[in-house]
Amino acid sequence: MDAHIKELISAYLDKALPEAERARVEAHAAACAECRAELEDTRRVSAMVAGLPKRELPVGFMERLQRRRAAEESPASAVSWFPAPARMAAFAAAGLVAGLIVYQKGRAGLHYEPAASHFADTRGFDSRGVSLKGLPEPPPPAAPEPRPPSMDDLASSAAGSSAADAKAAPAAPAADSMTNEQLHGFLDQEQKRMGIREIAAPRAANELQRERADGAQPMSRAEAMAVVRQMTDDIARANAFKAMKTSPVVALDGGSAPRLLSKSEEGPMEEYAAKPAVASGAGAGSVAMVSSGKDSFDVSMPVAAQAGAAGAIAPAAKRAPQSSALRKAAATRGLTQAAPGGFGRAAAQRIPTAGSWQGQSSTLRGPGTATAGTDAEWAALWERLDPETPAPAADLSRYRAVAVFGARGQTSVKVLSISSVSGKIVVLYAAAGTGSDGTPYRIALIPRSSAPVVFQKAR
Amino acid sequence: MSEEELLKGHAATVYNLALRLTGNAADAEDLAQEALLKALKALPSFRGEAQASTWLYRITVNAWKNRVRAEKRRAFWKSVPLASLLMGGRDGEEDGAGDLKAADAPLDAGLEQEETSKAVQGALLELEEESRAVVVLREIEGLSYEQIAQTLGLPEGTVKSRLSRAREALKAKLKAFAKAG
Repeated sequence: MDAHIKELISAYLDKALPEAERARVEAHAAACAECRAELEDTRRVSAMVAGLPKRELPVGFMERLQRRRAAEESPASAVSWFPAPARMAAFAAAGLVAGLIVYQKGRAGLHYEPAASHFADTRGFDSRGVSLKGLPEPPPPAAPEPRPPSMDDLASSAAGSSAADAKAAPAAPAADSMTNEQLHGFLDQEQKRMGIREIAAPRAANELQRERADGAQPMSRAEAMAVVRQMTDDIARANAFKAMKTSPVVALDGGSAPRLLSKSEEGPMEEYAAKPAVASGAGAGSVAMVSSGKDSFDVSMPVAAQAGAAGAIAPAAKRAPQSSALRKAAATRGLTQAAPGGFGRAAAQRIPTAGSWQGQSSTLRGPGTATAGTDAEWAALWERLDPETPAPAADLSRYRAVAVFGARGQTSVKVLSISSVSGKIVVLYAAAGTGSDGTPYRIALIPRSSAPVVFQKAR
Repeated sequence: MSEEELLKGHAATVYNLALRLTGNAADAEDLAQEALLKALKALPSFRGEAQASTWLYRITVNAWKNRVRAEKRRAFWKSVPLASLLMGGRDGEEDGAGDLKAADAPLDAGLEQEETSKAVQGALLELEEESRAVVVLREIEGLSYEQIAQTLGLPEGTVKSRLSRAREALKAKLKAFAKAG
């Protein structure tokens, strides 16, 4: 069959061919049985897709839409907490008990800060993720039940809940189950109370729903607990990441207090290579190799070699949400494996550097960051820093460069750590001092990769 | 267009588009609601030059694309052992780029009564996302190449070639059904 004709068939069926080509297809098809069959098959498939049945809106769609709209418009409230209402429809009260423990414990342990503006790419972390603001707000006056519900409340909550919810849904058939409406009302309240704006859809819940596809089945207690646990796990993770963004400290494994590197610890190390420490003319700043070898920028954190390096990220990744009560509950339900390492699975993996440079640039103005992944970019980077001196030798086929610049007049800029977190390379740096007449910079070579680099400025 | 007209007249369209893009009722509802909320917010600035339906298609498809991107970024959540526990050790079977397809693939039972519809929706889900959007907009919503190009922000030529390739792929997957039908 004529390959060219074959390419035209699709457009021919859509009547999207110019006259001449249309005629050619027709002429060819008249003579070629194979092409006629091809045409017919394509037409049939096209019709099959077009023939997919139209669905009615699910029952309650508009109500849920309005509720979600109201929630999005009120300042401290909730957005689709559970993405999958059908599956959650019969989330058992037993599950909520587990959920509550997590949340109440979790509240003390969680540590949310306003998003740091200098973080280049927060979307990358999780656009639908946790975004919490100023945590312990007083419950909004509109909340029908400002008192934090206790476990004892659950039965009554399940059976009747607030007036609004009662209107929206029939009373629960039994004390140990909730209707979807009641559940949503209750969760909305919970979120208001905690000031949570949005929680990412827990994957497990989603997948469960698709996997089992039995929308009306109640979740078992174990399932519910597992889902809730994953959610808190997600929150802790997000938290840890956030804390890492905003804090210049890195927690030590095993619960010891984190510490900042002192100046002396970070100080000059042995010579590495290339660029001569020359103070060239025209006031170009001096350049000196400051470190080399595999372990520069040591943040005194043993490399989190094992996935179980729990809590390796930041103090905020406390284990509080994994209460002993829950652990016990999990154990009795055979769920002990559920979280063997506890939180902090997104442990930071420190990235070795193959060399680094620091100096003062007389030509560069203003603070910033840069990366260089090619020889051209490398040359351009140095050109900006010091047009008088050629760029030092570096193998950009094996390494990529990350660079941080202080503000004009600052005396130094330091890289505190370079680590891999959730598939990103996080460069934590700090600039300090005043009174110099240049712009401090620091450049480090790290192994080549295509992972996105985010720069975080420590306080 | 008033809010009521928007919702009364187009919610079902948006929902059906979402359903064919995501392949399951729960995600479809979530996506449709997100798109409608965005549309409601943007309604004051809707100038009525474009057809309301194409405008809504664009909002829906963009919201869906954002989700797909987010899902891809969130691939690492899948490594949480809990998921594998609940999935009965399914974790690890697929990795990397296959994640999304795998996440999308299973259909809600009962969504498609008919074998054929099921197979068609399944085949759609196996298409790469952008091709899926092209096919759905063309075959189900009946948009012209030009409208699809505008909705998806693609050149018309790309729409044409994507559609041709996607139909080829669908044909291969649906061979049994196409012959029988």
